[in-house]
Amino acid sequence: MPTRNTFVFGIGGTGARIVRSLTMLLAAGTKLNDTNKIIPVIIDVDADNADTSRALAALKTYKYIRDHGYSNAEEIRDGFFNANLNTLSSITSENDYSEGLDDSFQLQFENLEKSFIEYLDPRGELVGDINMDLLEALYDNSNHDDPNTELNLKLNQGFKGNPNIGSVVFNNLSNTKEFKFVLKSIGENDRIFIVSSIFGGTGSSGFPQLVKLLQQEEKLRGNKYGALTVMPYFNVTDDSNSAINSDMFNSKTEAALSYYLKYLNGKINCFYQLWDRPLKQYENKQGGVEQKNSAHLIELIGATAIIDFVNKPDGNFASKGQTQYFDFGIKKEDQVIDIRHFYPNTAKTVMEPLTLLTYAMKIYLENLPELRNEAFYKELNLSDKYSNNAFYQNLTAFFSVHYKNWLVEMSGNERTFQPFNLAQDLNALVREKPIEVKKVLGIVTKPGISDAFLKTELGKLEDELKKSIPDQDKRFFKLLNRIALECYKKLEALPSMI
Amino acid sequence: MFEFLYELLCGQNPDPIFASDIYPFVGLFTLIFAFVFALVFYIILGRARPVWDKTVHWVITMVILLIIAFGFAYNHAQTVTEESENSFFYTFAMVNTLYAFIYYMLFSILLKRFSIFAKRTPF
Repeated sequence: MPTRNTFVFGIGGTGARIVRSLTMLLAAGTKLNDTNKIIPVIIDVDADNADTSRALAALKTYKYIRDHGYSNAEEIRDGFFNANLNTLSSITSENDYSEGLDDSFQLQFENLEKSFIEYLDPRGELVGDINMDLLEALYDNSNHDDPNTELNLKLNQGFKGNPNIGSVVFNNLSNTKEFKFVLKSIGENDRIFIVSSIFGGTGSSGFPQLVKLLQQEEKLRGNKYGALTVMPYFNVTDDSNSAINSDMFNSKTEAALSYYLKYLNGKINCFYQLWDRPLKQYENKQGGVEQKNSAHLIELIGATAIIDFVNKPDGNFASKGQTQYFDFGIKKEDQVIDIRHFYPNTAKTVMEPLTLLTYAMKIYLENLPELRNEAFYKELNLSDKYSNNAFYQNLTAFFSVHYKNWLVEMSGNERTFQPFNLAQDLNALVREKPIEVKKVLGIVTKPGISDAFLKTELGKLEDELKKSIPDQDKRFFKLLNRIALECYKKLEALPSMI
Repeated sequence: MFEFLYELLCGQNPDPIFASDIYPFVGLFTLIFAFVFALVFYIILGRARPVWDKTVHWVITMVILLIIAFGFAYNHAQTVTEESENSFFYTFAMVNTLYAFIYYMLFSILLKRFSIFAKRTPF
């Protein structure tokens, strides 16, 4: 069994959204080589950020489904939800220094329910002091009553595009018990990947600080480090009451890149960079429950960078002290992107699993309830379990709340990513590659993926699986994977550009 | 065995040909018919495609079997005794229909577990 873990740090809202996309790719069964666990650690000071909450909810649901969908979960390397996406505390049994650690995917900061100045000077000792003059010189405090000036910003609402504040707060990350645990639990063969945006506040300040804090540890200097930096791919509307101004995105990006070049070059083995011309203007929300940006193609591509890094053989890394830089390209510039736009490697490793999961989702949510009179349905006791069993409730939540919404959001965003026709039937599900339905004299001779096909295959598969998987829930989970594969056989291959 | 089963419900017939010829023949073939019908329903069709696997199909299959069982018993009794009308024939045919029903139920219970699409039919 592989022993290598990969720690994926998702910093800020963009980090959380990319971890959300990673969750979907792993749910689809994207293969990970020689990897035991993926440990996502979401770092966001904005405690109520809706993007972060959604990513955490998806991770939690994923973990539940994987834990209950397989009988030998530790050894599973194939099928939906096969990757061991787990929490920091899952390493508990292997170590004895994790007492009191929450079973959570989030790294919690402490003492952030105050303004930046209160954070720096909790007892008000600096009033009238020369150090306060220095702080006021470094940070904007032009209007003492304005909560958006830098020294007055509430820290638990994020850094609102101010990396100069974030870098101070992130310096204290090393004092949290979770981070101390992280430092102890990273083994010598483990890999570390950091996801952040470069044009906001939390990600751009957190990324270099995190690298610094990790590499302060002698034993962590030899690990393989990967990083994804997301450059501007959206704008926000102008709002004079908001601390976030997208006119500043490019200048912040430039400043941060110069900093990274100077201080991070050679410290990161693989540096992935992503950007897109900002086509979409999001509503200007500073954070909290209102910051709920729709999923975007860039985030999906960002998640593929993590897969690429995790699967990279040890021999493919540049020698120590050298950084390899990676960009991502698609075959053709278009406003609407689908599976055909991806090169064969991405199509095979990412789009094929996503197609399988989408078949499974459609069948689970739409077709199966219509087959309640079939023997396999009764054998699996689905009528009762669909509504009363926690495993099925989690599956329903993952498909309808997390995965479907993620696809719908990307198909409504710009640049649009629309690989599937979700409103159409299974034969027309994959965009630009309908499964042919043949008729002779009005009689269907080749129905593609019909109800009869599903009934036949589900019945036969259930009968076959019953011999090896006695547990109904685990058998059903395997059945879902197998029926998706049967549908994919009907599709024959993914669509491609001629 | 068949003599005992039929005489249990029909009473003894004074004509010995019922005990010697008619009961064993009709009993054996009714048993075979019931087995074949259950075999076709649960195994041949029930493992091939989900086209004839629901309770309504099971009932239709059974009704056909019962009609055959009734007709076969009545007709065989007529042929062997060379009588065209006899009230005992009706009684015998009805009892044979009842046994066909029982055999079909028993074979259903026995074979349904080997089916794919009809393993939950009719219960």
